[in-house]
Amino acid sequence: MGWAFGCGPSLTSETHWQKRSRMFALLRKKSNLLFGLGLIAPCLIYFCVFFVWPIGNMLYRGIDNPEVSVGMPKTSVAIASWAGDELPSDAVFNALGQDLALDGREMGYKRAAAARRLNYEISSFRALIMESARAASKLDQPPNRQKILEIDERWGEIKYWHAMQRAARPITPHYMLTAVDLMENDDGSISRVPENRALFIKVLGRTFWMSTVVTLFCVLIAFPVAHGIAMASAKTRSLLLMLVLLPFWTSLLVRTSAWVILLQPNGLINNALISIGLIEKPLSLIFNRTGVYVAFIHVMLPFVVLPLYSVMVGVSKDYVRAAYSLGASIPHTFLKVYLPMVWPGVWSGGLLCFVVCLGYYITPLLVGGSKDQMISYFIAFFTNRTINWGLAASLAIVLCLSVFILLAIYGWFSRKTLATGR
Amino acid sequence: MVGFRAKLWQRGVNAMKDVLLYSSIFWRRLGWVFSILVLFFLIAPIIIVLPLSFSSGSFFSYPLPGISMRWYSELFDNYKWVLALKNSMIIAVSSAALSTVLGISASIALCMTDIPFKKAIYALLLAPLVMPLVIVAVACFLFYSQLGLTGSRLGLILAHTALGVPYVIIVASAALKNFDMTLIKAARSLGASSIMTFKRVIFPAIAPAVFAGAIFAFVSSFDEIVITIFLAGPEQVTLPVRLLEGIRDEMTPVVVSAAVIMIMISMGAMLVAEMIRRRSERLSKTGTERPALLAGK
Amino acid sequence: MTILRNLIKTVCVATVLTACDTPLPADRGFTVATWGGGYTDNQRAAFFDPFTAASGAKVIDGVYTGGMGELQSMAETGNPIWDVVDFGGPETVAACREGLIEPIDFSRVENIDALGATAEKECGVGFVAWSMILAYNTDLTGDQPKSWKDFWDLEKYPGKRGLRNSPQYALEGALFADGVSDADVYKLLATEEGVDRAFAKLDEIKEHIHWWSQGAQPPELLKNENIVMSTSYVGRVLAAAKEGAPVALGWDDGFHSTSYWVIVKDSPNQDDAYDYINFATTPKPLAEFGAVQGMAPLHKDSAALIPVEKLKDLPAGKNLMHQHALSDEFWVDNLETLTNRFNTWVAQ
Repeated sequence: MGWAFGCGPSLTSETHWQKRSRMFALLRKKSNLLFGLGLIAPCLIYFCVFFVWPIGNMLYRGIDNPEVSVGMPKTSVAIASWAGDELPSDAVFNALGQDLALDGREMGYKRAAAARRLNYEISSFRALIMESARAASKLDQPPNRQKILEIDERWGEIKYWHAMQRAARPITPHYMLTAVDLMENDDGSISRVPENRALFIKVLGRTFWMSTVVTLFCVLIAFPVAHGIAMASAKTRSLLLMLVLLPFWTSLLVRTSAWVILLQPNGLINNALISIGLIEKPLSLIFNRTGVYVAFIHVMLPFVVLPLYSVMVGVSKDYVRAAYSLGASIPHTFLKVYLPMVWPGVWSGGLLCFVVCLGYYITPLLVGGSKDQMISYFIAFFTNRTINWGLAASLAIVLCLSVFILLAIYGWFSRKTLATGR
Repeated sequence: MVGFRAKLWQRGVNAMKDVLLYSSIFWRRLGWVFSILVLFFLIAPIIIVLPLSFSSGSFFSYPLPGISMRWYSELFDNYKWVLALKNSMIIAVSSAALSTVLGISASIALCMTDIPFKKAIYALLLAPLVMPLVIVAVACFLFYSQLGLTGSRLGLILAHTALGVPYVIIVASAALKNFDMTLIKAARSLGASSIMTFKRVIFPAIAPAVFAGAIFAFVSSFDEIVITIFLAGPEQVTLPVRLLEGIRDEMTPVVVSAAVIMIMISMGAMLVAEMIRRRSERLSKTGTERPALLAGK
Repeated sequence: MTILRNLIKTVCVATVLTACDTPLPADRGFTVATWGGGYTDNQRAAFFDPFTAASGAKVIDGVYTGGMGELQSMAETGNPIWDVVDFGGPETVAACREGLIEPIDFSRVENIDALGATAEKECGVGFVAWSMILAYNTDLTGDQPKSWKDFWDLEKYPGKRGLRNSPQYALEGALFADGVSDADVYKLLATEEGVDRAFAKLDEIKEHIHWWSQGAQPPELLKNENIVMSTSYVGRVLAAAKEGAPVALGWDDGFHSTSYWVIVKDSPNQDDAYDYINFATTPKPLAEFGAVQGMAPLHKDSAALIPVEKLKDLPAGKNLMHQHALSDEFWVDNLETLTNRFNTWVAQ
């Protein structure tokens, strides 16, 4: 730091010079550390506030369950200790009556949110709450047990109270269970939802399947291309790389829109084929799985070519030449000599492609049909269309977990490869 | 006669086997043909669709009925498209600037100091690259709306910055790894303070990389659509979002001309970055950089 | 190098400063959210620009694509980025019950008497009636498909059909095709068996359905010979037919409903909102918009301002005689559950 440390008091065993350099080193280390912390602080703080915290907050909504305890406060407290084998006590009914009779716009808004949450448990619950609240507001005083049963006899059915108790808990497994097509029954057991409501396992499977197919195709297609580029002379190489990077630099949306224009029923491909006379009616190339795969592969290819290329460039041609000179056939050389050497590149490129595919939203949205939408579509759907942020968050948790598990596997594998060298 | 034909057949099969198993030239040629086709597949959609923006008709078909710039003039006359372009540029430049500042300081700290947990911090700062964008978008949407930042340019800038930082860090870290630490010691021994060392020694050496990283951050923000869909209000619509609306509503070649503008801007930026990279490579190879540095340029 | 650096510095500082001119929520311009594309353009010509000319308040338009998610986040965070929204009937009632939109103070709405009974909802002011009809490709269909039974008749009309990507209209249509009468359809749909029956009927043609989500899509789909017939909004089909596309529509067996202006909860521009609603419910702008968009203005004096040839194309009068009214009450209670079930069914 260019400081000159003043001489300290006289020393005992060390020489003056040794102590000075030791102090130098310590202070340098400490100031180095402080300096480093000062440098990284803005970025870290920024990330924590504007990236990590929002994501954590959002994922927490997957288990957060505030609506009923906010919208029906007294009932939530009263029903927490209910045993569950027969109808609740009068105290609970009175609490319900008081909650239903609460007035005011803010309360009405919160109660409506609670009603919506309860509707997830039983399909007609929302109407029950809203109508009961409307009837209760017309009375002089909050209704008691008898009055409530008069307002609507459904309050005498125990399943509504079980649902109420489930929904009033501060943390709920409801959204996470729904995200894997399970539901909680009145007695606390867990079972699969009826078939006409089971959607998300299928969507998750579809997401994984589509990503696998796209990754496989991309790796198979990218391999010869990356090899060709790596084997080319330096000048051709930069030109070829430019050709690969060019679509990479084009916005994803522009590339996907180009495919929309190409694949439409009256798009360029169909028009060309019809004018040549190969087909009479336009082929159905878009809004189905074919269109999605084509667009996906087009978008993801550079992602795979580049890591593969970077590994292949580092592999010396001598190994393969040596194998040939020893009389090995081409398939044998490829499988036993070349492939093991570029295998890390295949792994990293393939995994990168797979992980990115899992989270894609725009491409399937524009070129896919209703049967081709992946998990991200549903996360966006439950955020924007229906007001079910809990379910969106739990689906996001599922997606995040998948991504992290895959990255962890990759990390473990690459460490293993480094360790064993194979 | 039968034996002769059988022998011929056997010779043919053997020849084929020889070619397939031992002729590397055959496979190499095949590989070349295949690669050319693939590269064509990569470039073709863009190259084929773009000229449609110059069509004088309003349909997507070849041959073009005529050449005209009507779609471009329609684009620039329409206040919505112009606003989208303006928003895109402002947000991209601002978030690139912010990403660069944060990214440089972070990479210097990661590469040149002794802070703990480097690997974890590195992973955290690179997380936006692998995180599914929809999750980031929804999370930012829910959180920023509590801060009143939805429907504002500032909110978009803050969100895009997080996406740009990984690019800057990757590029700057690569440059810093190649940086020769003895230069710092030399500068210090000549009496330079730490700030002067940074300004005169470190920064000029990593400047090309930093600039390239800033450009990557710019392009990533310029092309960003998912987060913008969730966070932007009607007045902060950016070019990609407007393009998406155009595709889903009524497709006319105006959409293609907007796409052309987008491509020109992002590709132009990337070409600048590539030129800078080449220039710095050239310079470091010939070694003319060091005398220039020490001369205080 | 130094010049370049200084240039970069000034550019960055300048843009960061410009970027920080974030308008506070209170300073945000008056915003009306509507359906986008040509629909917004027509509203801009008929409502927004004349309103700005008359009152001086600029109108910014936002895109609303259905559902209530955006309103929910605006309500929950107290940060509305819209002020007035163009809402459908069931959504108006549902959002009102959820407290996502403001109750309308009808003493401030001047024309409410002239708009008729359907226009007065607790949280919405109706302004046009619209219709979802059966449109078909005239080249590919011999006779005109006249009913939902024809929609299901794959032998007489082979080919793909278009349906909106929502349980609305699809479930009712399925039951109509199955022979249920107008009076019973919603009673039946309120039961589990009725819904099962509707989905079973839909399964019959599921492979042949092309789902559309934006109003602009059906005429495009019909034009490109992709589909043979589809549900569609009136105005879109008429516009396409005028441009020469081989599409036509039949009024019978369609649905009609009303569109409402609603005010978002805690909007900071409520005075502007009422001014706008008052302007947008006067005869002349309504007549202009209705004529060009194919919707029937609710103001009783608007009909006189529309040319006669256009009148016969509007969802009013005898065109509605054989149509079904979309039941707001039913869909308010059941939209969410049925949408979930519908999405599951579609994606399976």
